[in-house]
Amino acid sequence: MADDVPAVQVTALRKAFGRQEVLRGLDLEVPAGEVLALLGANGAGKTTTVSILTTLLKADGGTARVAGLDVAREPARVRQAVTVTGQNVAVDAVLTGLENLTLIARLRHVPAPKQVAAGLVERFGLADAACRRAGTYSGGMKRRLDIAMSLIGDPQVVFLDEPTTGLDPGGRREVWVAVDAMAARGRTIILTTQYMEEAARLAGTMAVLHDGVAVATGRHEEILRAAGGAADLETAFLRLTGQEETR
Amino acid sequence: MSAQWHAFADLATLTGRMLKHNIRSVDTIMTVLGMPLMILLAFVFVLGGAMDTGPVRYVDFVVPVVLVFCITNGAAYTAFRVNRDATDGMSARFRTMPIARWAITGGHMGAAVVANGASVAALMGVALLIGYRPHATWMGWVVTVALLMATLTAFAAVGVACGLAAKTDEGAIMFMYPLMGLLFVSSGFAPTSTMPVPLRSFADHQPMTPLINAIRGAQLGHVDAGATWVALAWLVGFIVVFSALATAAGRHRRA
Repeated sequence: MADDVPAVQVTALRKAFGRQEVLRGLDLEVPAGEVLALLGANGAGKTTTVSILTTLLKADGGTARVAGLDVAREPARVRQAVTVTGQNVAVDAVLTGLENLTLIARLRHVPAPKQVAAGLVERFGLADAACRRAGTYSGGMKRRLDIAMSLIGDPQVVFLDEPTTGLDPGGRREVWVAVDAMAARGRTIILTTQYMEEAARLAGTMAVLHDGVAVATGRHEEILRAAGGAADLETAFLRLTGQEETR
Repeated sequence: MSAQWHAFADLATLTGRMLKHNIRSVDTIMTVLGMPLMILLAFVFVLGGAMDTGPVRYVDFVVPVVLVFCITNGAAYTAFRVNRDATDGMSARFRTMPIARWAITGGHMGAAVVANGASVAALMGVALLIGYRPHATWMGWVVTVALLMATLTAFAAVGVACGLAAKTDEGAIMFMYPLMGLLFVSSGFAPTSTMPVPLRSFADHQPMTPLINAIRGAQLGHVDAGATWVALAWLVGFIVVFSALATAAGRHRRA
């Protein structure tokens, strides 16, 4: 992918579930190599957006391109370019940590899958538990394994859907370190989160989703400015998503 | 490497994964191998003496239904595991990866055929030890193996459909109960001629009876062409109908 092709390019994206319109013309552009935080209240359409961009869902209208590829027209090629860590940890509880990683390495057809798995076990601090079933892991360990599985094959665009929800502070920190390491390797990362400090800590740019559109996009200061000069991100978020009066 | 080759390699990888699930679950082994084994022993040694199956020894009479019972139980675990994958995010993970869609379902089907097929072979071994004496011709063995393979595939397809249609893993297993129920109202444990008329007319016209009669006939040296074709028609029908239902259920789940 050339550097000037945006990693993600979304234009007028629409999606409804029955009569409920979740996305009503979402526009979003993420340059290659950026870390973008997708912010929004529950039901704002964050997961729907991630699902469309990772080919799990079909949009009703608009276009979505990932790494320059149209997700509706070339889903198979998009799947080569993306990886996703979903809201629910997707590890195989019956397999060991090492077997989980080897499984994904085989399915990604990387050379020497066992060595790749062994390397990731080290990198993610799971070496001591590598031969235990993933079902016995703590929440933080499962999430780290989940993220490690998502990194195999080195996909260009990494989607993390609420990667730290339900984790204790230690587990959250472990995930942050993993995200920083991915960003340092030049991957484009799109993460959704409910936590403003997490967005501020990890992401260079943010997009605030409300009522199925992006109501503000940009760097930290730009979000504050879009919210009429809010003092901090949380205030800006509440103002932009129309929740200010209720707090 | 071609895409086709990749897809087959993925099928092998995903089948291997589900085989590990089967082998590491004591619960699965007890239900798929242990329970049919106990049924075999109980029916042969406890109830068998009181059974009148004419010129056919009861052990020779009852083995086919025990084999089909084993396959049915195994398929219930396919339903359970397909549902788990659909609800816990593993199948979503696979579907965002460059893997052929058919290989994802194929992994469940492949593991069901291999694991349940191995259980069937083991049960056959025990049956031989306790006095089961098939006198099948080579044609009889071809028919037996063909029928068992078709049953393994067809019931696994039912399992996939139930697993995708059910909301929970327990529900997925419950969807499989009617299939098990059919076994008990068939010619498997007792000749249908001994049943009350309404029950008998049902038993004679449901899929398990021709299937069991066809396996039994082939095993005992007189291939019943009529029953064999009817059984194969049922099984192919199962594969077609439940594959369509599985596709619809999968689509509904993701809509």
